[in-house]
Amino acid sequence: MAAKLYLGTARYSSWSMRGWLMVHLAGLVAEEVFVPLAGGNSPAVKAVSPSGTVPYLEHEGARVWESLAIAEYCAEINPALWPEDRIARAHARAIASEMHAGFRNLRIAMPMNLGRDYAGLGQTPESLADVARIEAIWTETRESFGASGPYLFGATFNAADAMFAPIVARFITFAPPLGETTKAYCAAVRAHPLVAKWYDLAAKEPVSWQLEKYETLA
Amino acid sequence: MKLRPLLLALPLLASPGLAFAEIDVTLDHGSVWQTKKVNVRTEGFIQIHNKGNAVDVLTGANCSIAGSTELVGADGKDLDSLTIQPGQTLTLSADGPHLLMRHLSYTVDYGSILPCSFTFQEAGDLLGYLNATPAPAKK
Repeated sequence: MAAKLYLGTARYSSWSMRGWLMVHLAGLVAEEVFVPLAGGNSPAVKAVSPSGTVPYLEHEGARVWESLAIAEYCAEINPALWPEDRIARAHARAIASEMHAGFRNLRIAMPMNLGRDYAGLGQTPESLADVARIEAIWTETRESFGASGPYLFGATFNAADAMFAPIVARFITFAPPLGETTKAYCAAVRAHPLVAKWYDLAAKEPVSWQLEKYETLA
Repeated sequence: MKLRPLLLALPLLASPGLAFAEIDVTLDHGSVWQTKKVNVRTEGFIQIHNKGNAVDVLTGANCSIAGSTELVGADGKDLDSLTIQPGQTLTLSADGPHLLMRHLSYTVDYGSILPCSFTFQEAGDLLGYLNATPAPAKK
């Protein structure tokens, strides 16, 4: 039953956050190895992961990298990571894939940092266009599938929420202009016990793991 | 870290009214020695707090990284259980009772956090985490 999950610095690594959330949502019990990121290509990460990236999961003979692949692997173990309804499940996979492949301008302009307040920074026309698209996705999804609770598909925090959780973290740190529906969703995600746990992990990381380029934006 | 506070209501026959046994066991983040090889042994340490008003007993632990996880004394001999009185803290440490993990499936690396379950007679199974720390130099 042994498993090992390689992760990057919790404070910065949005992809690690997604992978960690998937693994915990699936109920996998894994040794978690936090490899401090060095910014850019990290030899320490390349040494442990086939792709040279984190997250990377080893579980009972399976070797899985890329957050979306980890999500699908975890969903084989716990199908509740995706909605039960076929139409809802298709939508969840579509928006998770869009997250996985897109929003590059937002990710560059507003890098994840769980320990800073960069309110008002990072607002470029391109990043704000990404923000608008994300708000549209969340609003449409909540209106179509989310009536039963505070998350994208209702009462259950699922893989789609996990994919967007680092976006919530960015919105909290950089505070771009957001609608009330978006703010409510962000508050719900931030309050989820697993998200709170990830923030706690980040807060307890050694100060020596912090990178100047992410700590001196203001 | 408060992982799983439980409130177990048990009427006490000797009491004229209803009394309650509050079961409230919590675990701090612990530590585990790093290793450089697989299939070796390592030791784990943690503090366990009994904040309830009933005696509880730690009867075992299981760390998924290890083929076996045993409670042992400072002398390395197996322990069947460890009792924690109400309001007391049980410390599993290198110079006292602690966890002995054998046949590791993975190395315990710098930056690792090991999840382990701890079994109590009253509180049931609680999840605890052990942070990797450098092993002391061998004498």
